[in-house]
Amino acid sequence: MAKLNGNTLIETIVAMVVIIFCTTMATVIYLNVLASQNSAQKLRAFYLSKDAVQQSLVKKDFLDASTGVEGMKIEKTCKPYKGSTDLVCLKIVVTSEEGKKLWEQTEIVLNE
Amino acid sequence: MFKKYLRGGALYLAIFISLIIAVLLSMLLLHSYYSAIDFRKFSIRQSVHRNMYSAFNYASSESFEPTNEPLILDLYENQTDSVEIVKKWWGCYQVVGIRSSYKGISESMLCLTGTSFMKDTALVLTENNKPLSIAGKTELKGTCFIPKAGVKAAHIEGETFWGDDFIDGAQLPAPQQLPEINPSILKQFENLSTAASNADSLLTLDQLPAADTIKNSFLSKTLRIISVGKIVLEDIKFSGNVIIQSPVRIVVRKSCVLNNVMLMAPCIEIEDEFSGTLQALASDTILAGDEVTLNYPSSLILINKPVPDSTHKSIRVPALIIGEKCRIKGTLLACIKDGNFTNSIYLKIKKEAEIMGLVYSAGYMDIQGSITGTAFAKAFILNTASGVYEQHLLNAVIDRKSLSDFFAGGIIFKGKKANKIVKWLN
Repeated sequence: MAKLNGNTLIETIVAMVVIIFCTTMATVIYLNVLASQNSAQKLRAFYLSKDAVQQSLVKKDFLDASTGVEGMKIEKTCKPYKGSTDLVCLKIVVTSEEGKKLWEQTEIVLNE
Repeated sequence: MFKKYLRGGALYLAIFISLIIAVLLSMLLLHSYYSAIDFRKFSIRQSVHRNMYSAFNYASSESFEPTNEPLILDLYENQTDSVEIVKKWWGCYQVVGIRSSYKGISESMLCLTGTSFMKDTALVLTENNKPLSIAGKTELKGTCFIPKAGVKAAHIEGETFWGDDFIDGAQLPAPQQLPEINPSILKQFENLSTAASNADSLLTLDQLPAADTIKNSFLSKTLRIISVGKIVLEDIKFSGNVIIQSPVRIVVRKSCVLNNVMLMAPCIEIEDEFSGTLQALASDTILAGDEVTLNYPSSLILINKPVPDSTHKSIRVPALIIGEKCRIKGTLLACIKDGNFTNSIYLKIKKEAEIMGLVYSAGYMDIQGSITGTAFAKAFILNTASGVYEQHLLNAVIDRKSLSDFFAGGIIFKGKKANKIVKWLN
């Protein structure tokens, strides 16, 4: 009759502890890296910022404003560009609820 | 000696699985790392793109005067957002070139720019206390600025007015004067008519290479081809940043191909059936033969200060004549530097000719074809085989309603900004 090789309970428990430890460490590291990058939220902030610029151009609204969208805060600052009468320097800053800056963009637009 | 080994069969397996987890983790971390790099590049690309259009807006502003020299500008004075801007006149349009770069990523644009049209305006006449008489199948569609004497039907050349309404649109009082021509255009042409600047590459006609094709980018120096006598253009292809200049006359035969080039001479003659895109600047006469096709954006510009002829008995009348069945998309401009002689310039559009865009005459305008766009004239005149009629239109069409509001024309009026992209260049 053939002899079956097996592991003792202690061996199995030690192995499981090692595997669980490794998996936990891997998950924690990966989640931390993802959280620090926050790419999806930044990308959403980018599109919100682009939309804010577009709205300003369509409505010819070149006044400072602050709005909240999808849990983010959009701050718009407008000032004449280098003293010009027809150029506006439009700055958009999008921050998260925690106050972390997600996206910032500045551009010069014509105020016709 | 007592020796007892703890068996480690399951630990080998645990280490193996841990290694797999480590490999998977490193792959995920690498993915995140490259995603972060990609997002950073995306962010830089967006910044470069924004800077390019910001620079375009800056170049389109009133305060930015065209210059042949490139301008390097730090947009926000933070040493990172720098752009290079080139803006120069090209006929009645402006060439705008922008190059924006940051951290090894660059983007550039090169285009011909123009300005938006007066909305809904079909016709602007000056106040001359004479009614506008219309006959035949004349159509005026859009807002018309008409003298106080109004519009009336006429019966000339055996034709009476056919339509229901004189004007399909609003009728407003005519201004005393036409809008002022952009002094920059006049100045540009004065500069062009003098010797070539250092910014140009100069070639005489006999120095031209044997090749029949010359293509010069708008990013390069302007290639100015000159001659001391008459120039006849035939069986050649010129494209791009090229000015052909003669002190006497330029004749364009239908066998040549011209694309975006500029012609300068006192007299310019475009022969029948020619097709191309050009800007012609003359000081005495521009004559487009029959069935000439000038594609968008072309312009024929006649600017002159009238001089008495050799007998000092009369004034030689500068004329811009468009032949029958011509198709021109762009701008026709006939004006004179000395406002006291505005009667002595003549713009004629012959039968079945179709003009799309803007037509301006500081003197008389004779329309027998159609204009899809806007016409500005001091007064109308109608020359027929049987007589000359002042302030008459016969079978003329001026239709602003059929022209898209997105159509961009030349920057010929004072105070207008070059804020519309007319054509992308290379």
